[in-house]
Amino acid sequence: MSEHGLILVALVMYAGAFVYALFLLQGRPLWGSWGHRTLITAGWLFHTYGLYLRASEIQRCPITNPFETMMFITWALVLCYLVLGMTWRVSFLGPFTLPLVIALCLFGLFPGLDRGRSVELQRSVWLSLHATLSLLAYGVWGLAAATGTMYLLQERQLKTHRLRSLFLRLPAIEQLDRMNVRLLLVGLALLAVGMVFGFVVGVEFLKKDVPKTLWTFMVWAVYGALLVSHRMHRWHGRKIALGSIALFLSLLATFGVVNMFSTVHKF
Amino acid sequence: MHIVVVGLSHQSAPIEVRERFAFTPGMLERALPLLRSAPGLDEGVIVSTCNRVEIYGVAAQAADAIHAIDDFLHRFHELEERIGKEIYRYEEPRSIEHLFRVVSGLDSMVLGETEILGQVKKAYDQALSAKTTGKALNQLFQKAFQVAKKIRSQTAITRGSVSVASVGVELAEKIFGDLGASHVMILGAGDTSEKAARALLSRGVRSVIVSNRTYERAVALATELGGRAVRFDSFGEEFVGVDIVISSIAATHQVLTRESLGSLMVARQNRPLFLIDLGMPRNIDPAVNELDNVYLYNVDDLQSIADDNMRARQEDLSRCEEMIGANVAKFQEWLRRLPPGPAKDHQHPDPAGSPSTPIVSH
Repeated sequence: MSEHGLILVALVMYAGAFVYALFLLQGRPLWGSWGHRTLITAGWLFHTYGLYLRASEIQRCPITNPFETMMFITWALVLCYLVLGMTWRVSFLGPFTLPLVIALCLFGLFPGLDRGRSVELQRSVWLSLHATLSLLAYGVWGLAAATGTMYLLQERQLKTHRLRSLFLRLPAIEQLDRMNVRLLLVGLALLAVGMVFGFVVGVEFLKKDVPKTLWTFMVWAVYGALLVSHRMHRWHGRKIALGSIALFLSLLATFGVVNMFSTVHKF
Repeated sequence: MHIVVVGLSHQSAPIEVRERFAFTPGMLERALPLLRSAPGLDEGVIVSTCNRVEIYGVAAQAADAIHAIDDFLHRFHELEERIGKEIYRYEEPRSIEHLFRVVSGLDSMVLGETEILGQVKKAYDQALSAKTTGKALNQLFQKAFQVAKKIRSQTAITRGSVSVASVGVELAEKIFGDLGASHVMILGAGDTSEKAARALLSRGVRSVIVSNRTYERAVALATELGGRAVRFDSFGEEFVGVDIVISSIAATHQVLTRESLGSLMVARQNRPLFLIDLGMPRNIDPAVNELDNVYLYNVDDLQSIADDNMRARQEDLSRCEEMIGANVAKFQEWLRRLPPGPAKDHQHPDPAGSPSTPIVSH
């Protein structure tokens, strides 16, 4: 099976897990909540194999064009969900992560995006680490946007006193707030280390690629400012949730545009 | 082999009658060996809670089992007068269906309550230890627990709280998560406030502060709840450290306004605050709910949520009945295939609790 075929299988499994979550919400699970986790995990394994095949073919980290980059970000997002979501035991995080994963996968599979290759990307361990950690940071922030959405939904129900079936499924708002801050911090640390590895690759790249370098610094600084506001100005809950959603949407919207102007990061 | 149940519940008999048949834990120790030796009865389990007293029995003839249990109940409690209409006596399939309904909370005073499942499990364990169960009742009770679990997970029958105090606790848990770090303040030592505070304490809140116009009453309630009393004119000073406030002061003016709480929230570093206003007239300005991280509920809000939850449970009742009906039929099929064993052949159940033939339908 080709990489595209494997990604399609993964996509179908993610979609199946999302539909299954809707059944869970109605209180009609067929095999309990483990059915949902099994579908996501199986989808992620297909996703991983697809990326592995592509990496073997091009002999480098598969982030050399928009298709590969989208697949890598979504792979990182699901990985973060599987590791962090389950470690911190945040119930019902999957159904909020999956729509984003499915949308990005569908975008990546759009015809014409799996063409061309950033020739500047050399086979370097540092470069691979730089790219992997940076994209993992975006995946973690995607998860923060998902928890932010959950927070806003739960908070709205508590404020309006209209408690829907989702109310009992979603975690406490304090738990969501804590997780949101932790995810923002983890993302910030990953991107910081990713940027350091970028410097190791060579400062000459930075000179060549001013737009992307500036954009990355700005993204890091704005996320950092959100966390500083949490610490210094006691921003809690709603403000942090709104911030994590708004910043991630801005990141997605500008990611492709900045790459178009970039000379090195053309993916 | 026939399974029967003989008993009384809150639906069939008033407390004055039920208490005459109740088995205390001490009584059960004496009663189970006596039940085992009751003539004509092969197996037996006694379930005794504040709302019901029931004996499940197995015999070659249903009429013999009912007669033996009826006789045992009256003799054990030394009742000369025979109780007739308050006692129900069910044969199959109603006896099986009855147990499935009981453990699923469908026969409880509060529809869908879950405490009964633990009580029946305990009653069954005691019977098992006393060796008064055999193949039929072991299988019946294991299946009943499986059915209750499935009904609990696949329907809304146990979902959401249905009393004002428990809705308050549920909301607090959806705001703070684990209540182990939460501090509660009670303003006005009313009955409903006390109930809500007790419910929160049962979920492990860290501390309770009580403030009342009559300081002595505050001290008395604080002592009862294991908390601390503060004078009414200084409760504002404690506000910074509390997470949950339950207010039921008889006051003509609001004790908490949007303006006063706005400045308090800054001092609280915007940590979430859950306010339950049980006062009439209301003690807290409704506009405080517009403040970030403040969640205000009055008694009508809590009652309305409790009513909605009860409605949701009732709407799912027919689904529960269908699931029970299907499982009763499967259990009867299994029972029919069971070879007639020797009387008093007491066996421990399969540790996995699974029969050789699956008899729980989904």
